Amino acid sequence: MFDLSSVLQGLSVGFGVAVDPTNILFCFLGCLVGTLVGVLPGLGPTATIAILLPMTMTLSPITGLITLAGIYYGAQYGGSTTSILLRLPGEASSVVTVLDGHGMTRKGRGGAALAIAAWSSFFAGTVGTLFIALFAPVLAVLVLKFGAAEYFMLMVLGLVASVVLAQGSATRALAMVMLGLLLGMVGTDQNSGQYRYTFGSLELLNGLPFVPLVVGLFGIADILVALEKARGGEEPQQTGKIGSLWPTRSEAGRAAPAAMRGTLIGLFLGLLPGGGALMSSFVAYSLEKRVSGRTGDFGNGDPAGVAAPEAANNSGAQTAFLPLLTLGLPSNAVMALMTGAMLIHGIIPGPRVMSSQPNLFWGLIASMWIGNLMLLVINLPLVGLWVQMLKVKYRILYPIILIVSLIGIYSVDYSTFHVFLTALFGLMGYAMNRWKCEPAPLVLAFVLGPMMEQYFRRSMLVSRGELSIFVERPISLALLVATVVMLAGMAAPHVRRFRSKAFVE
Amino acid sequence: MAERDGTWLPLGLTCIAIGLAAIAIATGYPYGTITAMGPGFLPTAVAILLIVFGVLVLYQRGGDVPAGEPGLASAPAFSSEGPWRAMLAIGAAIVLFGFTIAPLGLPIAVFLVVVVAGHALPVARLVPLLLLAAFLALASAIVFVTLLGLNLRLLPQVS
Repeated sequence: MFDLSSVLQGLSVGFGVAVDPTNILFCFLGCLVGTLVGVLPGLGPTATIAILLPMTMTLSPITGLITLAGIYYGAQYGGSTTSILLRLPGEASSVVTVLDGHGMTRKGRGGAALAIAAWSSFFAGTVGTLFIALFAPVLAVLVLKFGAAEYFMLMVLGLVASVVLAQGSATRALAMVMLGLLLGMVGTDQNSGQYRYTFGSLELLNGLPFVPLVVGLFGIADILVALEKARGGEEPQQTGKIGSLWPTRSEAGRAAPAAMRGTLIGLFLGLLPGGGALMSSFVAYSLEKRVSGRTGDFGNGDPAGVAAPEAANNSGAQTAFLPLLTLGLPSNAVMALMTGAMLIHGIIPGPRVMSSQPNLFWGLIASMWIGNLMLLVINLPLVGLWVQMLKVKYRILYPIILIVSLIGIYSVDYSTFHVFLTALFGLMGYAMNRWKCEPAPLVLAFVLGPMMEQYFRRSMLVSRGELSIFVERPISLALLVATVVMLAGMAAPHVRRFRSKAFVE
Repeated sequence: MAERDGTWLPLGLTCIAIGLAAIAIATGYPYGTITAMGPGFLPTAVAILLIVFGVLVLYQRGGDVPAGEPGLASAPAFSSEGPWRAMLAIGAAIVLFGFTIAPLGLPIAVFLVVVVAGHALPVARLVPLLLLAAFLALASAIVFVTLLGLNLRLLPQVS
């Protein structure tokens, strides 16, 4: 099943690419800037990547993607730092880390908690990288047999799964999927040359630009939401004492097995579309709670309660790349941003990336591991500096974020039209936040929509207009059944109750 | 007892309105047949689904989200002052950037953006804001033009 020699060969190619001085430098810068922005209140990994995405456009494709991946890990790491020291989860997937991470900080063991989180993440990242290297070739070969019908159903399944497994209302998420599909149709129709929804604008003939959409929906909207909170009065952040960065022997002893269990959970749950990292950290935490029974000190700073979710969300974050690199299917908002970045660089994510651009494919995988290593050796000692960032008042911070976003957007195409679109999407993102609609399904649908339309039209052409093509082909049928089961599951009351319970906790 | 979610009405209506508009515009595009679909076929289909989910949002009357729980980012509900101040200031700042970046150059555009965006929160004293704006104008010119080499104008265009 595994062709070990070719995996090793691929990895050596990849490390060759990744240790190129330019790539190392940008991987380092990505991690650094990602952490810096990730630590800032109100900016999670998705917003961080969205804001910094335009800055990577001028780089070569592989360097750009390595930088983005570095930003991603850095931002996640920044998120867990604030949860541990300040009870401020940077993003949903580090919510459970708050419980015991901040618990350890209250005991004066904040430094140890940070170190445990970083080491667990590093371990999980290493395993995750190996996992991708082993399985990506297998999956990519499997997928090469896919026809238009299978691809279409796969994307439908991906979208539906991301809706069902994510937080919030599924009805609203599905409405956002449709809105995203519609937005994806703006521009010139590939088959007929017909202009659709362009409102006579020449700038829209190539479709809605991706960067203004994501910077608006994630970056600008986040600023607006944070401003609304800030108006209630800014309270100075109380940082707990960091203390020694070295865990004691007994802390390490509790953390190590938990990190391993968390890693395993993350590996598999991370593959699922939608909230992979979120679900894996949650499941890993509740498993640890069950495993340790009465012996643990959960909720008050148990090292296992830090190690398991941090390992799980990191290995989940790694394996989320697997569907993207092999199937061309982004499984969450961050992966949708990576897809958008790849498309802008002229790379169509999917099974052919590995064979046609082995440098890019293996280089990215190798740089994931290097990125994780950098976080460990560079960022951990700098933690005190990052925490200082939190003392900066939001009043000073948000103009900086705004300017960086705007210059970034403008510098992609030197188009003022893109700047105006950003304002529009920023307001739209804010309205969506108010109306409890998540932007992630919209962006996923926006990225996948044009491909889905092509695949659907091609399937109909092949089958002479018979919808039964989706049922007659076995792989397509299996994907369809999975989709229907997911949708039906949503409607079933006990699943709904489980979902709301799971996400409330 | 938490307040019941009240966002379903504007959201559902908006979805339906966008769906109807999308269908109306798509009537101008050829539909084609199911075998050889025209450019109007799928937009119409997707717009119909958008309307369906809009209706479903209305039908659920907010029962699909936990009652009273603030938005996903757990922001407070609309306060008396409203969110308009931030929306207006940030929106105006972005649009201003679009209009000024090409003719006036980066530092002046940044200065103006910061001064306008600064009003998203109530401004107690103007001087610190002006200082911040001047500092960011200088810093952005150094970082983005000198260090990163972006092709941006530094001084106003002289006609």
